[in-house]
Amino acid sequence: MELYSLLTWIAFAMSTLSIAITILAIPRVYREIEQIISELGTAVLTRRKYRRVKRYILVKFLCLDSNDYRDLSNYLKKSIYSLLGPVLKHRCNIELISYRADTGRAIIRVRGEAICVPYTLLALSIQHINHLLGSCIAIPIRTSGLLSRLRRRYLR
Amino acid sequence: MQANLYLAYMKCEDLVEYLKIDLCSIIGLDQEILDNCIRNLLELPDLRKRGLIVLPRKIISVNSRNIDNCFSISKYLAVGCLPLDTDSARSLAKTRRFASVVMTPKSLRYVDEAQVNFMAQAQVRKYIEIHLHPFIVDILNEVSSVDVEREFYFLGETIERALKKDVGVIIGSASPSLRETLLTTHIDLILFTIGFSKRERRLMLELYPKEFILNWLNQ
Repeated sequence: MELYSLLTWIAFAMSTLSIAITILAIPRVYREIEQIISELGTAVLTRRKYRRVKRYILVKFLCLDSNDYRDLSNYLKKSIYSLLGPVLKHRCNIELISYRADTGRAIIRVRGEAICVPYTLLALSIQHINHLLGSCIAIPIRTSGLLSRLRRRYLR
Repeated sequence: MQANLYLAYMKCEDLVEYLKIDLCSIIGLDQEILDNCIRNLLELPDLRKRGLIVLPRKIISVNSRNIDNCFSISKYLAVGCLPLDTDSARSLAKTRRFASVVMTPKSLRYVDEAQVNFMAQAQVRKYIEIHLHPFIVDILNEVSSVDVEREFYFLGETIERALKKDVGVIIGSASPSLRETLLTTHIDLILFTIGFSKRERRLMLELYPKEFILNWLNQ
């Protein structure tokens, strides 16, 4: 009989101990879980991919001095980049796809983040105030995601 | 039918060249330039076909002392008043006479949202006129220490508030020569980069200018 009561007491003591250990350990476990979640969360955020878009812009140039039409294509890219600034180069790529000196029309490709397109359009429309392209004024006519949509207007 | 309500050209040749390039059908010209160039304008071949409307304009800087200058000639010319202190901006907003308040980087501090609220409450229709060329020059100026981000932020906020409260907003390029001109396409694009939708841009470039002319003629 005494053995049974002793065993009961031992079992009671052990269960109390385990409850105490659990209560003491709960904050620590929470802390660990929080840490794991925060690490995973930042990892997910830093690995966020940015959407890369490609747009074609049809631009018409009007040069007050007709000699400027010829060498326009050489420094067009440079002038846009000089307005965008060196930092945006790592997210925006600008390329002159084709240029017709006789009609003064050009197609420019913008690749990178979506915000690059309005930035490039703004740079194109204010560059002549700094006389970056000689006496030429750029008029963006149309923006499209497909080159074929611009071709008809480009060849006109 | 797009409008460029203030061209600050100095020479007639610039004006003629501009009309060949741009497709806008309402232009505003300084009174003196218009007097000098009326002959060149009439000689343009497709003037009739195009239905060009030319508005005689005058931009006057005012402060609290000489604010009456703005209204004395407003019967003959569509005057734009450039307020140079808060008092004049407020009285322009509250006056019962027809007025168009010019916004440039100089008057940006005085024409703010409070003034727009006064304009919305006024009994006579009021207009905010924005001259874009000085703002663009500030972007491209590498030497000066002007806070361009702040300028464009306040410009956008004021226009937005004005559109919300149905105060007219009209745009003028105000470029001094053809080499620095802003065509209506450029104006449209600049407004697009500030963040206005197609409908809002149409309001500013087409509807409000027409209404401005009608209100000026009816006053």
